[in-house]
Amino acid sequence: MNQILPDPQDQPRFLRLFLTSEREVRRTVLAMVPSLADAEDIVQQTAAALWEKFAEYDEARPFTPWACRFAQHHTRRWLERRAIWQRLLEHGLAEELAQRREALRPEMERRLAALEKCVEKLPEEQRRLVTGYYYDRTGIGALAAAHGRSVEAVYKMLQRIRQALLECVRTTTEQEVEA
Amino acid sequence: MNFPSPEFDGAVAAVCDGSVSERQAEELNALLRADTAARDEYLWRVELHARLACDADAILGRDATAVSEPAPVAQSSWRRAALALAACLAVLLGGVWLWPRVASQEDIVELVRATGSVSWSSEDGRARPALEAGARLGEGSLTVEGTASSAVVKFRDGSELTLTGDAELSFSDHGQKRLTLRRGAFSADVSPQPTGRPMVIRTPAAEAEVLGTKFSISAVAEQSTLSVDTGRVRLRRLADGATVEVATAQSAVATLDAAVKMQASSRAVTATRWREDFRTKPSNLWQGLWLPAEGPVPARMATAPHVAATRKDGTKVITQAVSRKDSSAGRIVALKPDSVLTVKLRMQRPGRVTVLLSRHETAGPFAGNYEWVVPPSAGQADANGWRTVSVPVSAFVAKMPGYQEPPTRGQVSLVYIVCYDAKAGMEIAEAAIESAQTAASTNP
Repeated sequence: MNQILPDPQDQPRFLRLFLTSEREVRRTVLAMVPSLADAEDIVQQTAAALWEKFAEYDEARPFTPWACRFAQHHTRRWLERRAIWQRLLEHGLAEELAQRREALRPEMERRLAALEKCVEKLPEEQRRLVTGYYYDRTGIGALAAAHGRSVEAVYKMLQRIRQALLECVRTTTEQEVEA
Repeated sequence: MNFPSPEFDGAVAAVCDGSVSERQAEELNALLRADTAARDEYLWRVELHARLACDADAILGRDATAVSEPAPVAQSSWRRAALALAACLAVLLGGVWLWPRVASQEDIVELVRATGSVSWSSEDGRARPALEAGARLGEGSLTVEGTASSAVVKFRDGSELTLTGDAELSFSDHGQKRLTLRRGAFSADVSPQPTGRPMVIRTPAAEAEVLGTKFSISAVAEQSTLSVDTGRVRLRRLADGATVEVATAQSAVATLDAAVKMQASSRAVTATRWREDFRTKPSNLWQGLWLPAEGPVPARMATAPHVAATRKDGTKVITQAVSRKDSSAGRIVALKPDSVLTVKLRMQRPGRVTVLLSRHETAGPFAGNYEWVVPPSAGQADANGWRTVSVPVSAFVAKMPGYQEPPTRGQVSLVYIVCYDAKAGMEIAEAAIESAQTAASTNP
């Protein structure tokens, strides 16, 4: 009774707003829960919750921050049920990471702007692997089969590719500065 | 684990790929706390992974979408998203990543279920509005707003409280649970408490000590009512310190009037028929505006504004409602499988009308809220616009997770008839819950 149900006629408007904010919602979740499959679940839960509460959305306010708060809440609930994350972030590490990330944010924005260029420089097979994993969201098993490698080898390749990309964005930015 | 090392590389990759082990998490935690260089590297790698994943269409999608989406569009999309997200992401990250440590040290209860407006505040001014299930709450006050709102909170020892309707409850737990019910009501299922440290519940009029039992307690103005389902609770009146032991299936009332003898009594069996036609002014258990009969127009209750919920920005959701709550003397009516709800109503402007019932177990705890949306076509309007609508209570829909049993037994503790249009002009001339046979003979 107290929960105002969304009007089905609002669905197109909701979808338009959500699709506009989806990337930011997804990035919000992924930065906290890097696991792609888990983040996808959280984003879906967030979308469902946003629709359920859409009647309470104040149109005078921007949609994206409202959606991000829901994403935060659902990520929090997800973390709550994962003891392993508690282990990872306990003893004050969570605060330290949050503070340090805030300090690094300008540098991250500057350097990661080169990410697209760095991806373009990857060898063909590595680029296909990254595209399959991040863009097509192909499972590791299927990627392993497609690339004729073991699952462990694909995980290892992804790890090395990310490290190479990180090295690339750092180098690219330094070169730009020097130039 | 050292940094740099293959173990560090593997652990961070496992975090990104969702396969981190408990051992890796522990070792990574220790390393990141001790080594700032490792911490920075971890943040960089996670950030890069997150950007690849959520901006994949911009960074990686050029090949896949080359035909339909030119590169410049994708690039500008990526840059726009990166700038827009930055602030939001950082703020949220701080909040979320801080949470696990805070939760483990300060939280006292978990909000298991919430319906309607549920908020928390602390004495030092912190506030968390619009809570949802899963929230963990530290020492402070829980506020439930709206007649049909409810909140279920659970302590670490499994003790569970169910607040229903407008209620405000403060709680703390420094080795002994201390609750203050400022207004409203809750049912409780209390796990056995440590010896010498019973759960203490204080209301404006009384104080109860609980060692482990099931009970309900309400505080309305300066009157507190305690009903015990199983076990035994000692109730002390604050006015003079008089005490009474309230046992299974008994209830007791405490007020500030010390001249009234305080005693426990068996709760009365609630009748299976309830009908109200408002010919005389109803008691203050009713909410709404009573209007006496005027010529051919029967006596009736007009709706009154009612706070149904509070939005996150603090503004209120106002509905128009007529409601009847139960009293310290007992519930409104006992439910049977063939119970039927009948409402005679009229509206100046057609609109959605919903009836909500709150149910308690027979002489027991809260058992759920149920809703029926009155079909616009239900009931034939007479010359004066009055419609009589009836529905079996079995047709009501359960509205609270965890309380899915059909409302065909137990007792009704709230009848709430509401519309959402402030200009609907809804009036209620009769309301009844009775057996189908009685309803059929009364409303031919």
